[in-house]
Amino acid sequence: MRPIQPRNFYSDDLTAPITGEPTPPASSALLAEADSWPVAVAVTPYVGTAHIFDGLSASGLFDRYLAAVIAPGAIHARAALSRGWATIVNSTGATNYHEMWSSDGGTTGNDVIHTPWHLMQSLSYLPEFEFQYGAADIADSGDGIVDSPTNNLDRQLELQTGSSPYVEPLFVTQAAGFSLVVTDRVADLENL
Amino acid sequence: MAITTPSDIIISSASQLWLPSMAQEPLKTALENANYLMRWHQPPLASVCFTAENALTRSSIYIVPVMPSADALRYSLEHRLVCTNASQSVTVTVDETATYAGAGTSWSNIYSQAVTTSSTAGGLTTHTKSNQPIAATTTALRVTYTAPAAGSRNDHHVLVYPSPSAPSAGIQPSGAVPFDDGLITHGDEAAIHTEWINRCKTTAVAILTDRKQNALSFCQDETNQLHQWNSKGTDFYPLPPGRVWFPNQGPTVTLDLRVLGKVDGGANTDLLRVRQVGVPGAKTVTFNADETIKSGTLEVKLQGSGLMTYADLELAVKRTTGNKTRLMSAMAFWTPGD
Repeated sequence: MRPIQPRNFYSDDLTAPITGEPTPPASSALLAEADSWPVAVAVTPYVGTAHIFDGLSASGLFDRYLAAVIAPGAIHARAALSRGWATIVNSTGATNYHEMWSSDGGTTGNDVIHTPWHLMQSLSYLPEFEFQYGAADIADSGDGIVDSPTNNLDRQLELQTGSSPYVEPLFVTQAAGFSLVVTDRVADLENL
Repeated sequence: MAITTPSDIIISSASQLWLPSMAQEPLKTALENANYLMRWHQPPLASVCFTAENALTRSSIYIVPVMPSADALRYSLEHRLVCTNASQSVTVTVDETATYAGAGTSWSNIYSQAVTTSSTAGGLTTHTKSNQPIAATTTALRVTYTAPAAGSRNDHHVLVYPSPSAPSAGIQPSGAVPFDDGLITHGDEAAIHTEWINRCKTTAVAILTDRKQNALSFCQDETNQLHQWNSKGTDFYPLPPGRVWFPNQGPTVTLDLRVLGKVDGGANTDLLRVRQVGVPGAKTVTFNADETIKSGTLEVKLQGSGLMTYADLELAVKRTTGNKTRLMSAMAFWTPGD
């Protein structure tokens, strides 16, 4: 069993050598420390890029396809969704939720994730989307893990779990910002 | 003698680490994992969702400031766009420059390729171009998409990430040093010396800090911006903030900012703003909108915990009376450890 050891590069001394001894003994502690650095750099998730974009100004812009590079060891992720709005109107044609998927989790039917927008007195009333001059907030998508959904749940995105990085295609609707964070990783690196 | 580069990170078992045999392992695996990082550490150099008007029937040109590796690596590029009509020809061109100077910029071509879009009207087109060298001195990429012959086009996303070749002998400008197994394969004949132990860390850290990670992105067309900040007053008007995730890092990180904007007239001083929001005492940086790529740093206080450690960042723009301010690009880059 070898669990992932989270490493905070800010608090680490990145310039200090592992050892200053000219002929160090091959102690297990020394070897473990040497081994830990490449592994830690490999499996630490990459920064979750905050993409700011106008996915609100026209219905033709509501859909957004993008992709992210996923570091080894990831299983699931969540997303932060930025939204901007102005007045409250009867916003026919728009839906009261973000649709979202990862390619690994499935792109159609019940695999499509629904993360709520603001809900008003009547479900048919929504904020009027506004990118440039509105009020704004950020919502995190759901934290539940349901890999075989029977409905369009607000749940964690599914990722491929591997021992090398890969590009995960993604999709989101009605957003002014999107960022992905790996929230669930393998319990035992020996199983990678 | 060989420089072996695994295609997957190799995990030594706990028992291998804590009960090491009197032989070349586990140090050989650790050093080959450092070689693995040189080939396979692939954080995004740029990940940009474009902002443009709906249903484009013209070419688009996006200026994307970047901070590439000192090792002049190859990068792979993935473009995502949607055309209303099936099977259109769109030419994708990517150029680089060391100095952006508006219309007077000297661009070097990285590649240009005619892409046939999705055979389904309105379907997603993903165009991947692998292993294109980007010079260490490059400060901006220019991404150009031509108009389809019929219908319209929406520009969705470009992703640029390192895809270097397997390492070859010699110290790299980043400080990374590949491992050759010439001596260690005779581990019972050669000493386990300090440099091998330390190289596991120094090479890992060199790769980690050399390959900047794109923390924030916003990009509009170079000449036809959808948003121009021309209809309201002369205060700062913010865009919706974005949340950047820094898994397990903190309590603060410092970001490198690259911002490009211009004005149609009047003063251009301090019209572009980047700041953190949602925490007391958050810092703010302003930039001139003078049609050059401005540089700065922003220290942010991280919120949350564990993998969900984050900072919320906000871009804002203001104008002078009677003039427009055009924000073309804003990028932030994170160097782990900063």
